[in-house]
Amino acid sequence: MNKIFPLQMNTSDFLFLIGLVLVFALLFTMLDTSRRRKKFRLELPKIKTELQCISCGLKEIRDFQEDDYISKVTGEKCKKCGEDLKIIAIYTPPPKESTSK
Amino acid sequence: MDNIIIQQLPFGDESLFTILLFYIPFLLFLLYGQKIQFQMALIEIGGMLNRLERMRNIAKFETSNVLRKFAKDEKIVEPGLNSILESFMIMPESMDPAGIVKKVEHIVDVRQDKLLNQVKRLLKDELEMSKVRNIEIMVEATMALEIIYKVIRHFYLLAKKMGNLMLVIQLQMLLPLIYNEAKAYLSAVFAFKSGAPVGDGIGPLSVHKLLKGEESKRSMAKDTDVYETSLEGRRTYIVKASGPGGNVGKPSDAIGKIIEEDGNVKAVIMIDAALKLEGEKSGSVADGIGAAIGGIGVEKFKIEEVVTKYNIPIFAIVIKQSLPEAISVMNKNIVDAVEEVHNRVKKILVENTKEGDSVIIAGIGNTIGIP
Repeated sequence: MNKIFPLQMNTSDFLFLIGLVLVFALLFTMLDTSRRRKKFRLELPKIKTELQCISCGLKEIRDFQEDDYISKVTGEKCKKCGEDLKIIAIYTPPPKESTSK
Repeated sequence: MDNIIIQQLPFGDESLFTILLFYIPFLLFLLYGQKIQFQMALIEIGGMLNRLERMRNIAKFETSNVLRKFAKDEKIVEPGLNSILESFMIMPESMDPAGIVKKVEHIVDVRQDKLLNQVKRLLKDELEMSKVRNIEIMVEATMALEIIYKVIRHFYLLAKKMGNLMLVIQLQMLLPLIYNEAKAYLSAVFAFKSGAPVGDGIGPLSVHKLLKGEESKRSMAKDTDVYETSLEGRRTYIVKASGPGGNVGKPSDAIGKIIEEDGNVKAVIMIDAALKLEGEKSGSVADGIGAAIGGIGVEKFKIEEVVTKYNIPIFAIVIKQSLPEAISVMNKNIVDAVEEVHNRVKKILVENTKEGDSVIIAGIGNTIGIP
């Protein structure tokens, strides 16, 4: 028995080992590639528009529409009193990182 | 036969495979370790470069589509956009720094006007100015992505050509930060496409919300509006860039004019977005002293000059956020900071001025989506 290198291998063990390493390398590369591709996926956040009735103050939230801007009286009517609604805020949900700490 | 050959090799009684398994990789890493590291880093940078290229292409595609939608003639869009993306600005010589601010301001103004005119020339004449401004900023964000991609590609190819490991290692270390910045610019392209307020607009949004709605608007400097109102019994001048198109205006000129015209300004309060440190909460508010304004430094210099000349205290309120948040559509955390900003403004007014005094409150930042 060799004291320095106790591991004795024959040809088939060696080939098996190389094969195993190759399979793991391939799996790792595939996983890494898919992880990186996933990382780049372009995710556009949903933009919300918050409106408020200029008479009764009732608030309403809907999806953002092109040409919405702060303080715009959109022509939409309040469900409660029928008065005009005004945009008071436009925003996206807060990102996950910023809420964690 | 095999055993005879192995026994004849000068490695004692080790099997050939054991020798291969332990000594060859050892020698390989000893002699070629740096080269392997170099190649691995190049592969990683190459992958990142591909992603930067993809981002640049997406930005260019989106900008080109918007330009086409409102173009005078679709045929001139592509060459026009390419010409804008290739344009550059040469900063003035600073060997003799006296008067450098005026020179920088002049160059930046000329560049800004040129860019706006180039974009206008591509678009229909009847298109409203706010839309033109938003498209102009989309083009600017695309330009930023183009420059990032080109610079990284330059260093990547240079390092590859020279076989320079140090250059590659520096690139490898910096790329995650640059990549995040590029992502922020890409999201800015979509934000400006939508016309919704961005995080940087929290300054203008905060001052806009101080208005009651009946105040008349005066244009006291290029692309900058001034409103006069009353706050805590103080005559208050509200300064912000003209909206709702994407614009930052020239608040320094407006502040200077108000101070000279009124003669009784006792405080200047500047509200702006500030870059947060990692771990800080987005939308957290802090106040301090000084001119809260970013950019190339011209506006800051001019404000500091005028408040020093008239010995007027200058206060700053900042709303913290990351770079991606500052140039993406404003998020709820940042919108919610407005109330806290108003409390700080009132506190500064009460503690540092008297009723009847005049004060200037300037909302600094991009006014996209905020009139």
